Amino acid sequence: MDIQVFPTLNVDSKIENFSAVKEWLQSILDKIDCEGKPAKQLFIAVDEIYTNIVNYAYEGVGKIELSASFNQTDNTLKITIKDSGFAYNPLEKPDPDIAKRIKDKTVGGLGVFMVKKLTDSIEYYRRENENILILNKKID
Amino acid sequence: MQININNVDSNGVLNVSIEGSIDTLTAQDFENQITKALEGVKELILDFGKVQYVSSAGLRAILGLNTKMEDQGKMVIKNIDESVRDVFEMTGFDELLNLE
Repeated sequence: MDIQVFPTLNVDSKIENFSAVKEWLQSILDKIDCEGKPAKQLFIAVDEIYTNIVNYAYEGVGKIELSASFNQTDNTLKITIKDSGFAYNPLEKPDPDIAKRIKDKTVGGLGVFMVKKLTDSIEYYRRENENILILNKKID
Repeated sequence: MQININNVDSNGVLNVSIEGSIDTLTAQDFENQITKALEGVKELILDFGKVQYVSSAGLRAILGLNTKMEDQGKMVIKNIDESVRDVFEMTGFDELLNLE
């Protein structure tokens, strides 16, 4: 099984640092020749998780670590996002009621729902005071 | 992200084209810049031909603009690529917005 591991990125949990996250993700996508729709879906998924951490994980500013690996056997990119903020498992949250959202014209709760739709699977672990979220995305 | 805002024409139509992604970094700026240009506008046409992707922060901003335009006319989004259309459909935004 051939697994390609990419450099880890550590940033402070600030929205403006998402530009560094985008550059990091783009460099990985370039290396695995991923472009078009799956690339856009990955940018959205990472945006949603990153933004949630910035907004809710810490009282002030904390650390966010992003790492990634690509399994060449099954063409799956695995992106791991860690924070040491409040314990929070986004997968426990029920999916939003889309019909109600439309009626009320609200957006809350759509982020995680979108991540679920745009990736092939998501894993969550709480280990040693860290939230570990793993996004798995098949690159065809 | 780059926004090109044209002048409002004599019928109150404002054409705006957006290039790049409407995400957590750019959504606020996208909403603010366009909001500033909405005075007297009856129809806001957003050209999404060069929009790469829209995250939920972008959806929130788009909804904000749509709500403002409902009070004074209407908002239309045109030239939407498949990835952006997918996001609108999975979130039900295709039912809220005028998409061309």
